[in-house]
Amino acid sequence: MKEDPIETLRQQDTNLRDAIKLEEEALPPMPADLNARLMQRVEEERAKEVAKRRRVRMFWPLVAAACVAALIAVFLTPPKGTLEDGMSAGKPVAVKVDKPKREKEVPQVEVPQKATQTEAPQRISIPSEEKVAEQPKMKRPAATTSRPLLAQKPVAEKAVAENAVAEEAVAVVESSTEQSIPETPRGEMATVTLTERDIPITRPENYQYTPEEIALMKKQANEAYLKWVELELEISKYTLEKMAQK
Amino acid sequence: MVTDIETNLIEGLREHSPKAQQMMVERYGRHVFSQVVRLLPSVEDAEEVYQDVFLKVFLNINRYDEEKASLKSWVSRIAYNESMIRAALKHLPPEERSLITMFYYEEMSVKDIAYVTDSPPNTIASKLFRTRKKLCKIIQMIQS
Repeated sequence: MKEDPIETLRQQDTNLRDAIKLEEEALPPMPADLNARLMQRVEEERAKEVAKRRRVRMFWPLVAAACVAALIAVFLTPPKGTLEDGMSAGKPVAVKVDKPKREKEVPQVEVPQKATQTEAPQRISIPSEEKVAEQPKMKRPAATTSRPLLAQKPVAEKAVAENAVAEEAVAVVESSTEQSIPETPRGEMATVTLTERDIPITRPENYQYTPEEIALMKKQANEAYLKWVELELEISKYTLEKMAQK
Repeated sequence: MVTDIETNLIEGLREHSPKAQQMMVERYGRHVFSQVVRLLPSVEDAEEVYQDVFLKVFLNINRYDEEKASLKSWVSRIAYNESMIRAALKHLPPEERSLITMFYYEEMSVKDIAYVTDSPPNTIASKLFRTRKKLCKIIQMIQS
């Protein structure tokens, strides 16, 4: 309703319309290639959009796969306690060692006091090697064994332990148990800490020759040299004799 | 309010049909350009705004409501707003203008702008916020 008088005014006002027309004509013309450039830009934007969508489409399956992998890793990995890399990593490992059963000593307790007093110092003076022989039931963890933390070993392994080869390791274990662990009641377990250093072959000092070994090698080399000189002399004597015969 | 041709055109635009987009540009291009040039004396600026207007139209066609206005009016409104923003930008100091240009026109992230300007991202974010407010005030002043 209100627009009608304004519309009539606009149609009647020819001067104003002419002025607007003139001003429009004075404005810069629209470039001919502007629409082409616009359409090109639209295409570029569309390509960008498609690439973005594709990236998003590629991204989420990867995220899902990563989540599934993480879940599988969490649920399928064994608990920490069963991991077997304790010894190989060079970290100290707690090894439970059976205290030797002293079944034979039990009757000794019943012996009168005088007898026990005389026996006690004897026991102390026993060298460590003998002690090893006396205590065959002690469990010695092998450096490469995969279960150093097992508390109880089967009987077969006990037998192997009895014939154990690495006496030094045993001695170390033995000495450490003797020194650090107080005597526990029979049947209880004692904890000993073993490292790679306790295995003789891995001790760095064993990589080098001892002075005794070096002296022995020198002696052997000298003897070999003397023997070689004697042999050369014999050879030359033999050749001289042959030449004299000729 | 909306003719059959326009209805088909809007349908095509909503389907992102290149034909419909071409038709839209041919139909309303001259009108938009003259409107932009009237507000922005520089032809380069007018050309940029012209392209921005049509890109906005193509991207936001789903937000167009036929009940409220004709397609031509809707496009004119976008052109007017874009031109006003561009005109207001001229009144900003160079630093703020470059921030707005980088963020809105070049679509750079705050992190990238921070790297370019060698300033912390938080500072850039707060500067952008302040500049936006300033821009609104300038636009209101131009309109009044």
